[in-house]
Amino acid sequence: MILPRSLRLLGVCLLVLGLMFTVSPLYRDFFLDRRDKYQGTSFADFLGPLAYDGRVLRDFSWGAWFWNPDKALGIPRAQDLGTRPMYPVQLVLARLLPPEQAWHWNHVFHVVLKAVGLVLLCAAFGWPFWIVVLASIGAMLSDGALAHFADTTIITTAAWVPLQLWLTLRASRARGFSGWDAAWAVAAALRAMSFHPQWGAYYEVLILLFTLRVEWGALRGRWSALLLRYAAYGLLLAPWLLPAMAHYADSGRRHMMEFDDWHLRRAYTWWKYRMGWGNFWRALLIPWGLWVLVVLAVPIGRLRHSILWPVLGGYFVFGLFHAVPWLALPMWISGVALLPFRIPQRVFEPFNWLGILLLAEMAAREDRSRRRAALAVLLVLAVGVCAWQTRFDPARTYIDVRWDRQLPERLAALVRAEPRAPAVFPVGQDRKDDAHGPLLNSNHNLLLGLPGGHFLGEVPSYSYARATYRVPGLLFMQRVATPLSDWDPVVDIYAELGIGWVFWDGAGDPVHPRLRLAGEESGFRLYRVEGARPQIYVLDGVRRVARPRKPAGVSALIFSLPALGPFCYGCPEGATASPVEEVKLEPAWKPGDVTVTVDSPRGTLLVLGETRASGWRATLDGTPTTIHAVNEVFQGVAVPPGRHRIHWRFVSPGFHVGLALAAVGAVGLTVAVLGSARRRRDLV
Amino acid sequence: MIWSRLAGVLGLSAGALGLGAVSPVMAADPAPREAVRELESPVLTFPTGLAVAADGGVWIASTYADQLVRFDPVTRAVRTIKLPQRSHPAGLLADARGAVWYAGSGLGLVARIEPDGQTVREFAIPSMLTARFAIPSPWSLAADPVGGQVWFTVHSDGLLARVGAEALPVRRSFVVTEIPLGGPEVRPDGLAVDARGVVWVAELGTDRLARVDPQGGVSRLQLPAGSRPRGVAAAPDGVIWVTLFGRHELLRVDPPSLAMRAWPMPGGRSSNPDAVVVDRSGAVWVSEFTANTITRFEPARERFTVFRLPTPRSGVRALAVDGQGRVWFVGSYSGRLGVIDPPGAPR
Repeated sequence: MILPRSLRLLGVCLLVLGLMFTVSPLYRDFFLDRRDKYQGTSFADFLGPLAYDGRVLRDFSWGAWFWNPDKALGIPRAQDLGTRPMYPVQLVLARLLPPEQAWHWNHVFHVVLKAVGLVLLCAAFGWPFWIVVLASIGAMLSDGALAHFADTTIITTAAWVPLQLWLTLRASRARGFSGWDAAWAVAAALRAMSFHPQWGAYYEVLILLFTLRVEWGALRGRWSALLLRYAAYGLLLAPWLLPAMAHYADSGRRHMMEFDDWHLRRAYTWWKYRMGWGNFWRALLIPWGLWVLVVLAVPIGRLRHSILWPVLGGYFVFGLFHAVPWLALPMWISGVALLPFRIPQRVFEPFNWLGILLLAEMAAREDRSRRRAALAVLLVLAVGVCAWQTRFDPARTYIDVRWDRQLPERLAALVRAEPRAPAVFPVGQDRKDDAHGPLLNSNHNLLLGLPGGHFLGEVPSYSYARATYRVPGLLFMQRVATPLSDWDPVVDIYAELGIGWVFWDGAGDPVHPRLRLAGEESGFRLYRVEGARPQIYVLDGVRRVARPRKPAGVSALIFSLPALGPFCYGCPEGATASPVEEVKLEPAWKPGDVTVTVDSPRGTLLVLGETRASGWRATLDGTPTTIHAVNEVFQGVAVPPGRHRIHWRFVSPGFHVGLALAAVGAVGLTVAVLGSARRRRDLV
Repeated sequence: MIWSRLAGVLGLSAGALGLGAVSPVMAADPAPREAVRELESPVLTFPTGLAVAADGGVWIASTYADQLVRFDPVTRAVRTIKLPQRSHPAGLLADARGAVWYAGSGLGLVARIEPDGQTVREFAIPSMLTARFAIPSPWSLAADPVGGQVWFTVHSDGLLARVGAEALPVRRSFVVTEIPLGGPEVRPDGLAVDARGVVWVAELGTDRLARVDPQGGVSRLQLPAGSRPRGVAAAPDGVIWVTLFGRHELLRVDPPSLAMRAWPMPGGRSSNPDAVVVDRSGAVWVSEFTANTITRFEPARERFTVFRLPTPRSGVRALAVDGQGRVWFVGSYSGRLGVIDPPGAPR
């Protein structure tokens, strides 16, 4: 009895997953959630954003949807790389499961998605099932798949690619616009919503090359369908894309070249991450055995009319121009990071699994029996090489380490019981690095439900970055400790920036008159910063200064805060006329939505201690009013004498327009699919 | 008087027990407000180091600007030396040859700017080789008048280190010798070298005063819990003065007998004495970090004179005395250089 095709495909998918589980110890540990056997970047980095997503969904407000007030003194969610705030898969998992489980099943889902996508793609090429199985398992065993385990955003990006290629192939076989094109647009939007910008851009090039290859012969009849599906893709993506672009323009990363002595500038410039030849060959050719076998296969098989050879070749040329220093001319000539990418060897990631597919294609297309047998042997050997080499693969060192320390929940409860004040989490130099055990980092404040005064790894808003880039403990790269001698001398700066707490897990005790030990738990000590400014306050004195052109000028102003007091760019004169003790405040704070009733005899300057960002709007008794930059990073509103109501609200720019565009895209897709179905019926 | 005599008699045993004798709170004389001047220029970013060179130039470590600034008190000219990124210069020392040393707390080195003002010699510290997660932070510097050494503390790693005052860097090796005082919890802070070449180190984290003899032998004086010793200075008469940041006291240690005696600072419980220097007359100058003053203590009279600083919460962490008896200070928060003229001096 011949099984229906869909059942056979399901069987193949299960077989591939079973083989992965059986053959690869790494996949086995991965599925069984035993990743803590391996070393690499801490997946604790990613649990925090998941925890925040879960909280937003369980206790929804539009303010919390747009604005994460718990990270870096507040950050737009669409700007945080660690969060994919509009990726439905992650949102569902974060809503249903605790963060650690959501993290685990997020990875499992995407590994399965990639395997299924590979099976569908290989089957759609019309290859025999045994080749489908070998090609799929080989592609999954190649190191590229394992490298993805390090980072949620990378694995989710990669996971959609085979499915996208399959949809590209299926759509190319239809005449005009079809349901496959609509599915392609939806899958592309999902992929983009999940993606890591750098990897996502590489995959976009790969998919475009594949599209050109499979559509080349019928472009004349298909160009309108291709145009329509790319337009639909863009429209469906608009609610994420428009805010992301607006926030990127507003981010510290966009302006990093201004930070002339900043380690992040060095980390994010192309020429610091240019590839050496060793890296180049390793990125390009591992697993070595696979490429030897591909080279051996070339004289045996046929390359003419191959689908994958031109794609691989085109992508290779793109990779060379992109990654090899003297070919990346635009970046070298301009001397600036034109795109927010780094680590160029990542461009070659798809090579590993494309190599296997290339071999499989040659074996499948060969009709001369001896040669076919020889190519089959080479394919089997290639899969074996990938399986064997997996365990020695350097990429496995990037598989994540479990956070196995007890988090200080009791101390966090102390913080939450007080009026809202951010905490910082400096790491002692005596702590282990995250190759051996994850370090405490600023994502833990999200797990603990605390506002955090610092940022891990990436670059938040420009004003935050300008204000904090030289203050120890406020902005640090992952795996870099902040010695006690660096952070306790600047506690007065913390206090002026409104940071009310410090969690410390290193050796030695801080010595500063403002610090009071509030408690100890599981090796953590919690210190209260006495006299820290509250989140909402008024000023009765402010320095009116010109906006420094360079971040170093801001730095000098920030360090002078304890002695010389707050500063403001462009605040009106006389805005601070009322003594602080004569001003009455009635604040009502919600994430991204703050209302304060102010009663002052002679007017005052009201300050919201959350990061400035485009998207914030303020009203005074319902009328739009100007937000002034106080202490570079905060938001001040001049309030006239008497009783007034000030309302701050944050909405990611472009989101509502994007939603409308997405609705247009969805309707357009539906109409196009129905229209094409009707035309097909009419033709029949 | 009875108190102080009794304390003097008890000093040795009290010191051995870690119980320095404390004098009762004494009256302090306020200094005239105009005795303190803050200069409009240079403007500094969190300055934490200060030294006066033999030529009278005042050197300042503008720590988070990664700059050394030289101020000429005569011409008021300001010269800035840009240091490598993340140098974070902390302690400064001007040696007898006219060279200026700085502790590069962000790069794990000490460096010497030669008298020509151009040549810079950098000396990495051996613990850089074993540092894994944070760069060790050299902190305070002191010159050894006997052995020709420059001593410095490495705050982050519990180390004391020394390098020859005229040493030259060597490739693939170190000319710095490290003496471990304990782990990171020790937090060695200020230090001074007495006339016999004995090094005295304030162990901020462990409330002890380490005494390191020229041969490297280490012994310790236990201070009362919560003392948090920070600044250390050696007086011309051989006495060692220590600021007890946590107990708001000024401590006197007599090296031969190890007798200790402490005086409460005029700022009381909001004093937090930090930097300390001794002038040629033997008067002890102390910055009160929280009280925002600089005080002058005359040991003979046992009296403090209090100089209130013009900028609130200046955060003075460094003092230096020049050849004319002027006391220079920098406010880490005010970002200002200031000076206190000796009584009767022209301004």
